[in-house]
Amino acid sequence: MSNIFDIFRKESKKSYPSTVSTKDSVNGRDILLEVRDVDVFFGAGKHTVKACNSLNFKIYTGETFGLVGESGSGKTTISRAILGINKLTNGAIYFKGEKITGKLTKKESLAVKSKIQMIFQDPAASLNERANVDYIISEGLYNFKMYENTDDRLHKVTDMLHKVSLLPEHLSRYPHEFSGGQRQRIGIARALIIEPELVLADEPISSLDVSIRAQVLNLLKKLQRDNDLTYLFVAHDLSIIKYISDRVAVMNDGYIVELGNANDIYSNPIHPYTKSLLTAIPQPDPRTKNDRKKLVYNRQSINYEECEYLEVSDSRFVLGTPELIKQWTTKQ
Amino acid sequence: MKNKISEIFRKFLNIFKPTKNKVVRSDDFEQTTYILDDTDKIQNGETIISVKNLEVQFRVRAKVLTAIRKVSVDIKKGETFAVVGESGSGKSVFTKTLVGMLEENGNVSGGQLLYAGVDLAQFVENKDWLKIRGKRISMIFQDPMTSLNPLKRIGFQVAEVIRIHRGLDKKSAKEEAIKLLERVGIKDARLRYRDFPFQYSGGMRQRVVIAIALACKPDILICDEPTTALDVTIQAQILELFKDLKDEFGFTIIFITHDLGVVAEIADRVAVMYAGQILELGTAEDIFYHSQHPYTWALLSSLPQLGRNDEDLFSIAGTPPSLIEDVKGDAFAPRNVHGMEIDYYKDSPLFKISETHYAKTWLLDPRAPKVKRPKIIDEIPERVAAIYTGGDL
Amino acid sequence: MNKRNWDKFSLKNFSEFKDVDIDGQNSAVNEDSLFKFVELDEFKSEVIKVEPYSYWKSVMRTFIRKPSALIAIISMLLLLLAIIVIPMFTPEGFLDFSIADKDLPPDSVHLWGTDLVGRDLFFMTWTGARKSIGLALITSSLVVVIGTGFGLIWGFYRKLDPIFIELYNLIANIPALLLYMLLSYVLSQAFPAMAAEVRLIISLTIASWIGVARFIRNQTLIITNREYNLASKTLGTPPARIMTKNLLPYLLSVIITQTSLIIPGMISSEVAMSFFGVGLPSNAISLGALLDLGRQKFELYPFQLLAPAGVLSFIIFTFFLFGLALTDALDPKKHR
Repeated sequence: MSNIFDIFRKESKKSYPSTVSTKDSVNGRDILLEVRDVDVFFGAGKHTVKACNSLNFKIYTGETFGLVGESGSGKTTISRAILGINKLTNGAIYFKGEKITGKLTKKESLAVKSKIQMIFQDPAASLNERANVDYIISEGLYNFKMYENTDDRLHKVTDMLHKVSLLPEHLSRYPHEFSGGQRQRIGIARALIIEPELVLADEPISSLDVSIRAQVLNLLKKLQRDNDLTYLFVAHDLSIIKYISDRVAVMNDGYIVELGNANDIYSNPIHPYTKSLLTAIPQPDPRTKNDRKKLVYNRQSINYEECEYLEVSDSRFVLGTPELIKQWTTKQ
Repeated sequence: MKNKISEIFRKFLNIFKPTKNKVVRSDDFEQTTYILDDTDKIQNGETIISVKNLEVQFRVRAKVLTAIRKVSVDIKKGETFAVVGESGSGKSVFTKTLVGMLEENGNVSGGQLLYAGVDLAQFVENKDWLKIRGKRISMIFQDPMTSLNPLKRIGFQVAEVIRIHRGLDKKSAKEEAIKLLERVGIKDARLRYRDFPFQYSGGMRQRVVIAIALACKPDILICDEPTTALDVTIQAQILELFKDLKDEFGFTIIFITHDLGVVAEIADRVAVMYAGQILELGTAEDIFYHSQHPYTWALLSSLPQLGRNDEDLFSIAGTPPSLIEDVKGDAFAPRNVHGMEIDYYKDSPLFKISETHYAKTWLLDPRAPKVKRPKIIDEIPERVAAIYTGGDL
Repeated sequence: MNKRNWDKFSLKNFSEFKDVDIDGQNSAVNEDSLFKFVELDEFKSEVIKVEPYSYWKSVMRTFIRKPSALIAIISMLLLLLAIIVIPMFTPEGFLDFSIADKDLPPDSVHLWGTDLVGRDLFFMTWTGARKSIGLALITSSLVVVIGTGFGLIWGFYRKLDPIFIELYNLIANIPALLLYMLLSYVLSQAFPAMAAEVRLIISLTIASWIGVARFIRNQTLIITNREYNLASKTLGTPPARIMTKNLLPYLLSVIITQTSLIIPGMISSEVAMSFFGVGLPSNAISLGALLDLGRQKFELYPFQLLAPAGVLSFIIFTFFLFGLALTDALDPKKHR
């Protein structure tokens, strides 16, 4: 098996090439983003917080990669590491085969920024309250000089507004005059107007009202189809991840514990943590509420340091030992 | 003499204080006597809270916002009554009204709020509310830190409530507090008695808040999105805890949430609120399998749990209305795919579908064209069954 | 797209072309005919009907409504009127030395009497007040502009922290008055031709900007990690624009508050420096110089001290009250 998990996490401080192949040697798909052996530790000495431990995953062009985990699982840390906000302790991240971590020139980092954008969790906090919608959405255009003149810029902005179902008359309004869903759509417009290739969506719907969530999810799906976007979708709710993602990585305590196709994981989870996450989702079916068993995961029962990534079926990886996996898969 | 001067001085200083709620001093607690002695006589299943034509208004920048628009509902003793709605639907205002915790600029402008026969809407002074709030009706908020003092030890905060409300001495209050903390699932409660709130995780803090709420043995427990800020696995545990405690302590739960999944897990009866009104009211069975209101349909069919990868989720267009202006007709009409012209003129009455089930939509009028419920709602059991449901571990 | 017909089904238009009176009997339209579906326009509910809320308008409204603000505004207007109008009507020779008229008590000619060199105290005091306030306003604006600029940079680039902290320790650990005196002395030796007013402004500015800078730095630190700034960084917005577009607008209200409290401080500093003889020369007409003179014969002629001291108190009280009322009005939580 030649796959990314063959690189053992114990080999630290090794050097990483500045470019890698963008074709997956196993299935021949185009890799847009590759995360290799990434550790992110905060603090030092006794108080080190190991937020991410030897993370390895690839995001293929055009797919939606879901990252699911509860608070403290390190899912936000890794997404911010991709954006260059958190520094890596070990490992490297490649975007279209180019290394984007470590020392970058100003020009390089700006080029990466124009291709990787982010949609934030809380639209109330992530929009500049003292700037009008026109400026907020145009911000990226200004930064990358992506317009010829004011008319052209306004044309682009109104066009983008229309794509996210907002009105041109909103341009002169300020964020606090909008509802949560509208604000999130402003945030989406701001991120997408500079035509990025990879969009990190960090819990983009968890602070929205229920009636708005589907609207935003559908909008994200539509924009993905229209603009050939690739998403890294971060969420704590497996049901949302399952709906929107093609592949899913389940994170717990800084480790990816299970990685595979969304439907496989949803219908046949292997790692006990994934099982506990799945059974904990409240389902809109009161008749069966007492039949569904809620599994409680005991983190202490498994020492992740002793586990390794095992490919249990085609491109399906589970963090465990052969004995554990045997135990998890047979005891049903 | 000295006292008098300090008294005058204090009064003088009070002039500069913003005129807020009346200051309540601790000796007011002693004067409090139970006025509602007969609440214990109410049998399970009988009405404990009766809301009649309730209307709540807020003054916002020289305008009037009507947050609750003529809501009537009976809540039965011993049930779990869920109020579902999005932000701005009035669900939180509704519960805040029940405990007299409306913001300064809000007031009950009409209707009655009968709790065991006493009209809470007539309460003016904080002193009246103190007889109810905490003692008879306890509240649990989304953020546990709204109820916890970050500078006081966990155990002490629980014991304090027990001492004030039940008049126990320090030592037995402590024992009682430990017992309660253990009951709500805090392991090693005795060892962790002296911890501060910041040493606890979000789920644990919420458990402590539940313990505090239970400390005074309330009739009614109001939970305002108590699990929204928690992780899914923790949420499941807390919901389980609520169910167990309800059986054990026999209180009534009013559960506010926006998550229909959570409602299905916990509720006996459900009210769906939108723009300050109850649009549909019924048992959980009614709401999840026989819903009649397009808004309920929309909420159910937009649940991502039910969505399949290859299909678009049903989504509700637009944004909830602002209640600052007068709403003419049905507030949901501009977002309703089954909206009719009549919706824009006249607000629909609450149609009775069965003894337990009511819905407020013109679609139920005999003159209205027949509309079929979205297919996805009939497929709920099937779709839920497709999800991994556990097994032994 | 602009021309979308949102109003097709709007409530207003409905009631215009069909006069429906649902509750009354004389309904023009049969209610039964209304049971037909309406096409849903998804853009219609996106329209924001509430008129735009302007923060500054709201600030003005809250400010004007406060009784204490009213007092502050009235006394501020009176003060401005006094320092502008009174010096304009100074009778000739009233500000000149005239030994014959020295130490006169208040009477109908010299309203507040005269000082120990025979100048009219009423006109002297108000002329002095004008100078003191003018100097204070110039110094305060310099201090605020410089302090805000450096404060933003200090807060934004954490790497600069050690440099600024050392600088802060250096300036803040010397007693303010001593520092003023020192700077004033150094400046007067280095540039003997420099006007005393300029020297005063420069030394006050040098001694005070770092305090404002530190305040702004702390405020910047509070907001700099907010998500909207993170969003700007992910968008590649250059630091200069983050500072001017993201940080400065948020800080504006605290800066205004701070300014309104700095101004009275600057007035007292000027007075103090002139009083101790390192500010304006004693023949200059300023409140500090007047106080210094008045002190010399205070026991014999108390009004010589009381006149400038009273006016000074009034000025500081006015600015302080104004600042406090403004602080309250700038708090968006109080906009109801």
